[in-house]
Amino acid sequence: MNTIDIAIRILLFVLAPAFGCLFFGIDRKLTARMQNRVGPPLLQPWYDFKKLMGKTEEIVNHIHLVFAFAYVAFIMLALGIFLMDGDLIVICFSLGASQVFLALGAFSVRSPYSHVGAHRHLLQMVAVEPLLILAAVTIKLQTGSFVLSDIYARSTYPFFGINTILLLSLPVAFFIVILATIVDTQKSPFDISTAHSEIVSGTFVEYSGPYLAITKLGHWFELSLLFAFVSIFFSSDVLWISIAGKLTLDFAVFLLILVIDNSTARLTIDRLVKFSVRIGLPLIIINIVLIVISSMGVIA
Amino acid sequence: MNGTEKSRLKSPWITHINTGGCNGCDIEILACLTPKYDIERFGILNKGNPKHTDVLLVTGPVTKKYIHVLKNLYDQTPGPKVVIAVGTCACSGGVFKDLYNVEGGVDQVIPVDVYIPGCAVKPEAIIDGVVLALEKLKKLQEGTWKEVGE
Amino acid sequence: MSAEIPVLLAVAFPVLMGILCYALRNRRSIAALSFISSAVLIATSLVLFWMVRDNGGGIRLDMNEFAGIPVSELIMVLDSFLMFYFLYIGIKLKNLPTIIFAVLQMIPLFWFESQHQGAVTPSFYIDSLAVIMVLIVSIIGSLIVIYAIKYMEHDKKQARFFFFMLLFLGAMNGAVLSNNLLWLFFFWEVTTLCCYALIRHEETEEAIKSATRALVVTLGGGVAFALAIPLIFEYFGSVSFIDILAISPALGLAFIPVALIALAAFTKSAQIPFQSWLLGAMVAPTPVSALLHSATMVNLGVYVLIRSAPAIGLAPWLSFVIAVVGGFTFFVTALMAVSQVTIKRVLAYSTIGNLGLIVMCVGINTPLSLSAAILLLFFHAMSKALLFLSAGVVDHEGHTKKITGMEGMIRSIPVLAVTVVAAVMTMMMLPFGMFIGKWVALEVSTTRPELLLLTGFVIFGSVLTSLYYTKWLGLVLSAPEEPEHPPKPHPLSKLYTIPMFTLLAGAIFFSVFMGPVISELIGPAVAPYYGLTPMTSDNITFFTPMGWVPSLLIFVLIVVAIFLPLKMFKSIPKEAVKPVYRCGEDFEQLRLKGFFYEREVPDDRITRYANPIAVILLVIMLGVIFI
Repeated sequence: MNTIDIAIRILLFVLAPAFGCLFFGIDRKLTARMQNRVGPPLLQPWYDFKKLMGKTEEIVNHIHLVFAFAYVAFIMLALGIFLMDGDLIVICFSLGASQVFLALGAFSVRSPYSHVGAHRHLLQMVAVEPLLILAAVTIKLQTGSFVLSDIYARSTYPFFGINTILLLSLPVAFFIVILATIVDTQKSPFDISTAHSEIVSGTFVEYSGPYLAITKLGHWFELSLLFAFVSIFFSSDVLWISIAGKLTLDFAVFLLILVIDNSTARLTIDRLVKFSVRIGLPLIIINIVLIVISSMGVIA
Repeated sequence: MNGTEKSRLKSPWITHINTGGCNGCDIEILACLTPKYDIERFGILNKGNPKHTDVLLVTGPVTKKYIHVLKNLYDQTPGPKVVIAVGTCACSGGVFKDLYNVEGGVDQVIPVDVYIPGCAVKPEAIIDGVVLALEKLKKLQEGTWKEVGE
Repeated sequence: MSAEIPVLLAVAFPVLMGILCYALRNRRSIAALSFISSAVLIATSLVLFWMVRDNGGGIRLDMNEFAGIPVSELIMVLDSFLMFYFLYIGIKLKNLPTIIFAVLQMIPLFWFESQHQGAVTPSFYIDSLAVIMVLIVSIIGSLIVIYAIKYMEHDKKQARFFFFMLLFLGAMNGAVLSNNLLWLFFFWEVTTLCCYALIRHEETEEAIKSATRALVVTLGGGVAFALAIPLIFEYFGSVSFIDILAISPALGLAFIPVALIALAAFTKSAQIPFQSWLLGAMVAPTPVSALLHSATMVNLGVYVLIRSAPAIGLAPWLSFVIAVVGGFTFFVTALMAVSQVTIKRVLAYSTIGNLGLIVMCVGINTPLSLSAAILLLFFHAMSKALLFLSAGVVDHEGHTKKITGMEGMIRSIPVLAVTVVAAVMTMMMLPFGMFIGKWVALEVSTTRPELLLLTGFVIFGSVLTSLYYTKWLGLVLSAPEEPEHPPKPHPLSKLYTIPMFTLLAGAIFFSVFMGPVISELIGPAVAPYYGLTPMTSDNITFFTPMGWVPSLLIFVLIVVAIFLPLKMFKSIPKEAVKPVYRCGEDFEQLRLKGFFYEREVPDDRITRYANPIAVILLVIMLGVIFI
């Protein structure tokens, strides 16, 4: 890793929340356009953030805020490990840890809305986190490593002269990662734990002003991390193809999420768990079995 | 005007509180969210929670049972905040004024910044009211706001 | 210095002190004797650690005859007494399985002793693995004994209680240090006796029932062990652990005794389908639960497995089935713990699960997985003992045995609540030792295609683990609004706080400085059979051949996340503290009680499905040897 490389990674880390912010801006604008509305300006999430930072502080108790900071810290950690080309499983667990902290934060105020949100959040974690880790395992089985630098180097799949696309060899894992992205970004039909009209935005109900802004910041980081995860599925030896491919893939997933968000209604939490166990889990198991069989074929 | 102040004007999140009205104004408020009026283009989001709110839209006359609730909700809203009385009942008590179980308009309980009369109010009027409220907020920030009595 | 004195101090001294406790029977002398033996045990274990470290390998110690006493014969005689005592208990309880198992144990044992000379050289073998166990037993055990002095303050039968506690510590040290299988068996049976007696302590109907069940299950394991001894002599030609592990037998049948020992280890470590005794054992006083059922005695089973790992590794199918049993246990107990409301039952399930993870690591049987097993053993003992001690204080100070009773404890007993939160964090949060162990187990299980089943078990198990722990912490943290004049919390006794804080400090300290733990304890323990351990840590990053964790960075982040907000809070005025959103109403404090999924995942129904599966697995385990 030379200096320029490190500088680019640091820059990406700093810009990550900007990507998240822009995502929500485009999201709101496009959603409005889909509903034949004008919609807010593109930088609306940024205005919301600035406004929240400027509001007077209002807290319920101190522990509540410690967990908000821990949530953001662990999301940043996960993204940091990702940009350091670290271990996929550690990234997934660190994402899971941040979700645990978010739930603990919601638990630490005695509000029924907050508690319902936290319970739903935990169940949602139970439903999605294993699938995400299993997707990481399939990537490992395909490439032989959990470490991202090795994954980039080894994710070879011959396709029209472009050497490396993980996407074509692991379509099911890709589907699972998209599912996890929808759930973790709190998009319909899986915006269960922060349902704003139903349980007054659940886990976030008691955060206000600057502290709500901090959780928003964490959310932006989370989004960048998930799109970074999506982008693992495309890499190439040629730099510009790699970058262009990653961006295209992210944008395609983004559009897909948007369409799903706007065309579906919220599920109940048990439907999410059932969906994950009955559809997600069998799919990923089939994928793993296929990889194992094909790798055995290669050996034989 | 610095960035934060500018952002305040661009992102007023509302909570709507019914203090005992007939639901007519509430329906008009919801109509504002529809594509025809599209208040989201001003950055307005409807939040159900005073802790996330900048603008309180209060409809209906304040019944006696509801006084402490309204006070609590107002108290839990972090500043800077704006209160808009939506509809004739909220402005003055309307046809329910002086009823045995009604305290009166919203301003009997919490300070009100903008009054939007009408029974029921038109969505256009609500949007106009919110814009007026933002105007007031802007002047307050600039320090050019003068109370009527001064 | 010769190793004889420390070994005697570790094994015989606590027993002597226990007998004195029983003889003197007055509270002051019991407390004094417990303190003395705790101090001596801690010092002895450290001395043993330094001796093994200086020696650069295992110390062979021959004590078949010591100071004119024929130790070997003495142990044989005591062993026979013990057998007959079990028979006596069985008859007194009118419990048929106990009688049968007691008799079944005698047959192979007496037959073997009549045929062969029971003594082997060396009789004690002190290597790093044994030292890790001695450290766990002596230090954590002593801390629990100190805690028990306060906890059992008003108990009527303290003399008996401390006699068995100290006897147990001695027997445990003896078991882990013995090289002679017969001696190991004797100490193993002594721990069974202590377990029985201590569960029975309260003499209620439930206590007697649970104690009997524990006795039956562990005696059943003892039968497997007793059967294994003559078979091992038959196939390996020795009952000395060192010799057995040095031989790689050609005959497939030689693995029957190994499988039997694994079976015995499963009963001791309460793996499914033997988990019921450990759950029942939770009726015992909390120090007993902490000592026997989390930190030490259940570790004896996995210790024996880790010790015989090289022999298990020679039979790939056997080790695979062992790994599946362990992984299955980890997953199923995590699922069952979700619906539990009683604190000690949650902890019991979590204990069984984590032991299952260790068993799984032994079954995978690579240098990395073995290192992970020892790492888990080490950190689990500390964190779980701490959690049990906290549960005891919750019972005595918070007057509740239920998780729901702990609601809002962060306001009523903040010190205790923070300890519980920190303890649970060391159990599940990265980058503490337990997390590292789970992570390594997960990654190591993806190395071979047939192990992928275990990957699934580990993933779902760990996610469910964080579910039930977070739910619990949620209730502990769920703070009601601060009253105008908060009542001053009752201060906790020093005898409670010192052991608890020592364990907490240990769990955190060794997670931060994992480098020395690996290089001084785990590396040397794995080295004799598997060569250099593949995991390393320079305290900044933790490395395995498969990946790395930036551990120091994460600790710094945790510290920042805790202290940055605390620094910011200083500027927040008191008026900014607002009540929670309750739709504007002011009603009295809510009680939320949590949510336990009792209808969705009831543990009794899962047990009904899990036990048959586990029995089938065990049958396969004993059967695959013939293939």
